[in-house]
Amino acid sequence: MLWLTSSMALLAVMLLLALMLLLGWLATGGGGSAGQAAEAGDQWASIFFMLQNGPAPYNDEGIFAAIVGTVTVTLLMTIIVSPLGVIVAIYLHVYARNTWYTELIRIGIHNLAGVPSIIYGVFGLGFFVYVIGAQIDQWFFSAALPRATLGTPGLLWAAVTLVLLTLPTVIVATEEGLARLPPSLREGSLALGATRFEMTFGVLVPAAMSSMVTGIVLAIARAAGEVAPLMLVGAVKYAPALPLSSDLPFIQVEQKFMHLGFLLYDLTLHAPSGDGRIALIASIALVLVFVVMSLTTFAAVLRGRFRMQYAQEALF
Amino acid sequence: MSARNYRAWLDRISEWLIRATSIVIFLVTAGLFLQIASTALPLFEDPRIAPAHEKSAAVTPNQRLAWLPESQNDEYGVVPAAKLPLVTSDLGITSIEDGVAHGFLKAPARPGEQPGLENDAITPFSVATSLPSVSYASTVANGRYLALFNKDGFFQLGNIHESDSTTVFPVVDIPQHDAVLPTPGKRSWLLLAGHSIHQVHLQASDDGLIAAPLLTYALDSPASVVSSVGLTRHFVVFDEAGHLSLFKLGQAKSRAKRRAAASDPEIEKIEWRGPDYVELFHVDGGIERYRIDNLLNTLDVADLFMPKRYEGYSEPTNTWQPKGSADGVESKYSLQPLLWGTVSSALFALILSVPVALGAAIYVGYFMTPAYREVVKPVIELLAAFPGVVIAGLAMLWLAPRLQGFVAELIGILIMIPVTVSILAMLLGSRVRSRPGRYFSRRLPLLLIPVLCGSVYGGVWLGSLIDAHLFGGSVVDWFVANRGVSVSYFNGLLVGLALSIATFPVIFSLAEEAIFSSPSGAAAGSLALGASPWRGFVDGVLPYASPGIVAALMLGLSRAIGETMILLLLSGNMPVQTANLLEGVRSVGATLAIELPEAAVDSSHFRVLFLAALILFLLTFGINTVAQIVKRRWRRRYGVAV
Repeated sequence: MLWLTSSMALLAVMLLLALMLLLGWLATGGGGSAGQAAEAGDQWASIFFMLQNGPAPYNDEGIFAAIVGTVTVTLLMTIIVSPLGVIVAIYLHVYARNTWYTELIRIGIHNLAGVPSIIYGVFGLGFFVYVIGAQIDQWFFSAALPRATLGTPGLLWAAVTLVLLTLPTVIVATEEGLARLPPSLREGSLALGATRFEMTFGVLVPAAMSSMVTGIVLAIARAAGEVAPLMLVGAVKYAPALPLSSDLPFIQVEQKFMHLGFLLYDLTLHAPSGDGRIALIASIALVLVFVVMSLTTFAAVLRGRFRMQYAQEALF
Repeated sequence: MSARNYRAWLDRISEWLIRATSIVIFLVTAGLFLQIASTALPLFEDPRIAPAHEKSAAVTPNQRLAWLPESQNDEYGVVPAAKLPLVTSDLGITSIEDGVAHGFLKAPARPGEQPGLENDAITPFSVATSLPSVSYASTVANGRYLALFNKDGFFQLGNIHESDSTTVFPVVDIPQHDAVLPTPGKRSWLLLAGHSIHQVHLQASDDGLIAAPLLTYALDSPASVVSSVGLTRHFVVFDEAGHLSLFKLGQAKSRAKRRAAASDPEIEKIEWRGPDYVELFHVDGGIERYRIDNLLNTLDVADLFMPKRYEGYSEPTNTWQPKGSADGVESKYSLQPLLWGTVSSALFALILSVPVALGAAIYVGYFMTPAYREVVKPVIELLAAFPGVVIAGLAMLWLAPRLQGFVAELIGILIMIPVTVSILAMLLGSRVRSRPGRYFSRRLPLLLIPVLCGSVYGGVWLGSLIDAHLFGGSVVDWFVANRGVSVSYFNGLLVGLALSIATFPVIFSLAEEAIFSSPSGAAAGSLALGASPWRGFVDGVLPYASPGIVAALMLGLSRAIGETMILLLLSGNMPVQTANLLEGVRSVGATLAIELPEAAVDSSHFRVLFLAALILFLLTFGINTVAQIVKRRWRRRYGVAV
């Protein structure tokens, strides 16, 4: 069994390498994916050229704006979902009593992970944008009406929709981490006079930090790649301005933004076939994968620093 | 504030904040569920006929009798039975001589226009027919044919296209009837026969197009007056007992019923005024008006789940085709292909990814040295960084063209890897076990790299061997030729492979966390007592890690069911229900993503899509409930906090 499981792990690593190599190979024109464009010396399939404001699918702007949009919306979502997911998991584990309706809520939240993602887009549009956004507009931005500020799809609502999408992942992972902790941790700290708050945030949370961050890593990975909900709540094919600016507030949350995943979806489905199409798609995919990898690696490094002091030592 | 009071205050405030935040989140998620349910459930409400007091503002186009250039004997030409409403007819037949029917095709008169020979839109035609007389005629959807009816129960097609007008079609038996009503789309007709109303449609057969009975509508008492079939595909029947019944084309039972104010002999005709408004005209000039609520956006449960015989089809099928290819084609709303596509592709993806993910998780979480684990775990988790779009794009652009020729090789690889590794393990395992600690975790993967590469190569070789010797070149071609299996470019195998790459990281991460952080006491104990490492795992780690592994599997399943992009780009858009891996699949998520932006809000199409999502929701709810019960039981047994 040792051999079998070891080979499975090895298989996973090999698969990863194979996928990366395949993407890179396709992106740089391997196998004729760049078509005649590469032979003619046209560099527009080259990934490095695209990272600048090189020629791009629809305009001359390149994909830099899409990279910024992707990173911004993912970071915004992470900032919102991390505390929210952890708090809900803590509530379910520490504060809620074990009644049937608590179980029902728990199952309901786990269930959210299985809803097709476009429903989140519909819900985000119908509820967050047209109800909450419109209400906020009336309260705070009435001077600008009828031009909607927050009552229209934008960065903020896209991030909130993604939060709803990835919340179950974070909650499940955190809850599992908390549930694995030996009861002696809980009871011991309470016996020594800690309040529930101190027990939770001083003892339990640091001990379950590894699982928590795993959940957040999975959430980031899922959200950075989800396109379907974003189609309805704020991603556009071309946004004239970046959602970042140099004066307060530094993030313009009401703007529409470009997203690498959306670009990919659009190109794969709707672009006219032609020279370099495969190389173009592979290049954008490679950039997206790199972006997501950096974000998840950053989170994973953070997790490594919270090394378990309370969990058991390994056997080998 | 003293330290003790501050701490108590902090405890209370934090508890309040945590409870409040959680309740908000629960309300929002409940809101999501409620939105889905409230959009989907009105689908099952029944229509109601209610008296209307205000006149409808809608104006229906003026319906005129077909006129004939020279009015002839009643037996020829399009003459409706006395109690039918006026029928918009676009043709008239003047004579039948020597097996040829002569007549005129006419564009429907526009409101206000006088029919007359001066109208340019009249073209004469002649069709070959062997019917002695014709009681009703209608053009057929494709424009080339004419449908000729005879009251005594005969039907014949005629070809009005000039070059083929001498073709004689077979005469088909149909039920005897008094009158014929056309339906929108001109593919089927209603035969009114007193006690029952039959629907016949054109279906393809070996002899070409023939008329076949489709459906019989159930009437409690004989029909007295029947309305035309509106564009909404509904018609209203006033029967001799004085009841108004609402029927929808395709459903044998009436959808709504009401007692009319007048009784039988008094009603002359029924007309639609707008999509949901009917007027009953009394013989003495009075008018009864009725509005029909919930007419449009409701469907039967049978429509959604049972095989149904649709217009033009020779057998009942489960089909999903909300918008037909042409105008007037019946919308088909069977959810079975969608649900089947979702579930089957999710299960197939799990079959592929669960062994690999769990195996990898066990190795990284149990067998591997923690120092190595710190490095290897993030590397494997990098697979999670491939979003669905990217996997789908790669599969579509690179894998799809190559897959069909590679099926046998793929199976070969799937066989060779576990077989090779197991054989090697049996041969060399004892040598490894006698030197624990050194060979155990560190060198083994290095040793396995060439083994794996070799077994992949061997699998390819084995596959091509199977191809060449057992199937004469290619598995797929053999199956197509000999077993009549159909193959499509975007098939279930492709979807399963791509989806398994997407679900693998989810299952791996959570399962590995569960295995690594389970208490090591039992495992250490069994090892100390001489058990092999694998027994140490099964007895010492697995009981504690099982709930976490179940959670991992549930999350992986949810991911597979809810994944939209992969199925959207790889599904081939063929909503057929089949166990054949080589045909296309279509899932609920992909259908939603494609059709939801285009469906009219709150139309039946819109609602059915939400119903599909609701069903998925309830399905996963059931599975998650079972999983949760299992987890609790295991946790309670092994003494860890629930």
